[in-house]
Amino acid sequence: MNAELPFELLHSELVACMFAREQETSSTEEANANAGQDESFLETTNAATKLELLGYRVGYALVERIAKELPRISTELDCMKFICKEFWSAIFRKQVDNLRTNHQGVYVVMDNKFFLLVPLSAGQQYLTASPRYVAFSCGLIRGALANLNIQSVVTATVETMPAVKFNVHVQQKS
Amino acid sequence: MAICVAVIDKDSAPLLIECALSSSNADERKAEQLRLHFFVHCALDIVDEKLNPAASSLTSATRSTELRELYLGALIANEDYKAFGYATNTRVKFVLVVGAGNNVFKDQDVRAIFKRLHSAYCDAIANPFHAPGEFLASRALIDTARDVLVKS
Repeated sequence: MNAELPFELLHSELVACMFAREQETSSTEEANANAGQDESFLETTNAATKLELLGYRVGYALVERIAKELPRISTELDCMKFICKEFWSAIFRKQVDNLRTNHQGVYVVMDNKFFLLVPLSAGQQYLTASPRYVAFSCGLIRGALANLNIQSVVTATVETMPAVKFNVHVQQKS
Repeated sequence: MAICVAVIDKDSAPLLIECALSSSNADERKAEQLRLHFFVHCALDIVDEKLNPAASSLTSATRSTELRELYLGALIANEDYKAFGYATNTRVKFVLVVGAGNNVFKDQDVRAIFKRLHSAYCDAIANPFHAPGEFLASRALIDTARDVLVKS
């Protein structure tokens, strides 16, 4: 019985729940438009953004705990290596397969068997649904980097399930 | 005797400052607390210096060995207090202030204290009701800090 099963199940439920709520609110939006109700931020943003925000908060807290025992991380490249090895192993139970950079603040993190997509399919099936399943993990990486003092924008592309490429654009401090 | 424990976040904003004040008079307590806060603030300057050494002052060899550890060692001392520092990878700083004449605290003890504080801090951060940047109100962390102050 592997220990990451609860997280996998919770994550799929979370995605399903967020998207169901989005369907609901978009159908009630026309009804409320005339009533002029005041909707809060969380009710109007779409599900992928909400998932990313959740991932951000979780990543922010997790990275403190995971980086506790390690020696000091000094450069940005060291941060990315830490994310690819220790952080990834702690959460997704494996290390990242490839890290590429153009040394100008853009990093591509490639994982050929992303554990949250493995149970979905192993080819082209459900490819259109995959973005919603990687939104949380994008937030996770962004939150972890934010706590390590690196502001970034993280997006993900999926060409073949279950391989995922995360693109990390580090915002340069101006 | 440890007098003060402080947790400061990456923007140099205080997250927790616990002091063990000796006098009972309210005004004296306030004055002593203020002195301790100022002292911690001065210690922060030294922490920043250690974390970002000027490129000209150290060769790259010494710089890399000095920065591998999270524990920063003794920071500054004046006639009343002495401070020890610890900075995590997420740039959260812990400062421990002890009495100047105090020789009871060896390096190993201080390292152990910082390890405990760091663990308690990680647990406090994981609380979903805590927003990053807010003052820490975790019972467990405050108790750990008080424990350090009282035990010594």
